[in-house]
Amino acid sequence: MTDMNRGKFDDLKDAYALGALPEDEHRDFEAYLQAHPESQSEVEDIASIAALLAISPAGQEPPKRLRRSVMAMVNAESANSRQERRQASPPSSWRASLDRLRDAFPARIALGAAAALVVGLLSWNVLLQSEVQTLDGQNSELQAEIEAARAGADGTGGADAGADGSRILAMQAEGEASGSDAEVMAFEGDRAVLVAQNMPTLPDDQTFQIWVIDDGGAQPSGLFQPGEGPVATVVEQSLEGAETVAVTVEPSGGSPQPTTDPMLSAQL
Amino acid sequence: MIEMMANNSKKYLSLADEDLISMVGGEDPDAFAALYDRHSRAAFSLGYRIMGQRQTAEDLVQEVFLKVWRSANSYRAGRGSVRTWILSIVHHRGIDQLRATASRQRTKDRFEASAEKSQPSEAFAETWRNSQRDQVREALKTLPEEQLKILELAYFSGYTHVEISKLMNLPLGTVKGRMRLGLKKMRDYFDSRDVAVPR
Repeated sequence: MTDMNRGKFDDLKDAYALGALPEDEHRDFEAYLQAHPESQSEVEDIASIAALLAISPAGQEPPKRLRRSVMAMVNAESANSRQERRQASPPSSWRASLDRLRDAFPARIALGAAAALVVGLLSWNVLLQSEVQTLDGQNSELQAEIEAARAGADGTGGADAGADGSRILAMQAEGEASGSDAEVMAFEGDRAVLVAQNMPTLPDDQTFQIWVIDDGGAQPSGLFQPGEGPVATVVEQSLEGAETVAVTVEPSGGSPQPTTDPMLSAQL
Repeated sequence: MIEMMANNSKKYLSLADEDLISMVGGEDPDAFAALYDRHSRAAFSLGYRIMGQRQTAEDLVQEVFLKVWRSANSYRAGRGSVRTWILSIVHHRGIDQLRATASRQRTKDRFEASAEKSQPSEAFAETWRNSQRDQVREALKTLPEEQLKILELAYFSGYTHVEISKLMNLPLGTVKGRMRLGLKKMRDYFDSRDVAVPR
């Protein structure tokens, strides 16, 4: 149990606001705050002054590659998340509505109900169109990032090495994926995003799985589904020391080790 | 398509941070890009001040902005501005990393090596574009060097008050007193000018 009291609280509140309490005192202080919520605003007031220190350092311009790297990951996560939502079946509320309408409405007003459903489905279609436009925008941004990385190539460290350490590696496509285009965008040598388009369609119970291969074998590094446009996926394993990035078809949910031959591969 | 994207950019430019963060919570990457463009410089400046190296500052800021993207829904306007929220994540994560990587000796060396640079005459010589930053820097100028140094050791280098008292060979009570006086002086700067504390 804490021996914190009002006097000790006053003694420690400035150090707390600066984040300068040792662990045990920090714990006691927070326990006191929880027991005395009326003191919270007092601490927040001091913390708001301490927080001003955050804007005092000399200005440092972040490198452009940082923006590219962050946006590539954000766009990849956003695209994956939207794709997952699109793959989900239409909202169950639609099916439930249909069932309820069938049960509850007599035949003579079924036509009106059907008309209402058509209006609803049209609205849904408009929403989907809007989503497609948003995805188009994201793809454009992704393409712009790829172009920017290409433009950054300085020609001295290989045709695909950017001046800021970024690299774009074209992937070899084989078998059913031979008509596909895929690239690995590597940042600072170890982080990467895989961008693929024109991939073959897969049944619902299969997925594409990315592998980073090094001396220790193949490490599972992310899953993705084919889309109508480019699909960007974060490569979850570091590329440091890796020899190859490959993509195989695996059962839905992925496999701990590859179970089929690579459809795409890039030597690092 | 290009025109549509240009219009989108203009739309985001005119939105307040609070609107943007709410759109980021709805997974809007363009809103996130607008927030990044507004606050990445301040975040990187703070990250660099804490970590002392550009590469580690870069890694830190990347981690922070990914957290902003993934946790935008946890932002609460009542607790401060979006900028304050982002910078508080930079601060907490940066200090956690400093403490976890046992790089305290490096931090100490850096502090001692940069002691001259921390003198107000140089530290405040830069021209600031941001008026709030100007005000904060002016407020810091009013602090005696011994108070400023203790605030900086605590806030930017992650030292506890006990560690600072050992490092500077001062009684613990003196360290606490200087922390209190330093923060009070900053507050007084804004109160005496009848200016709201930036948030």
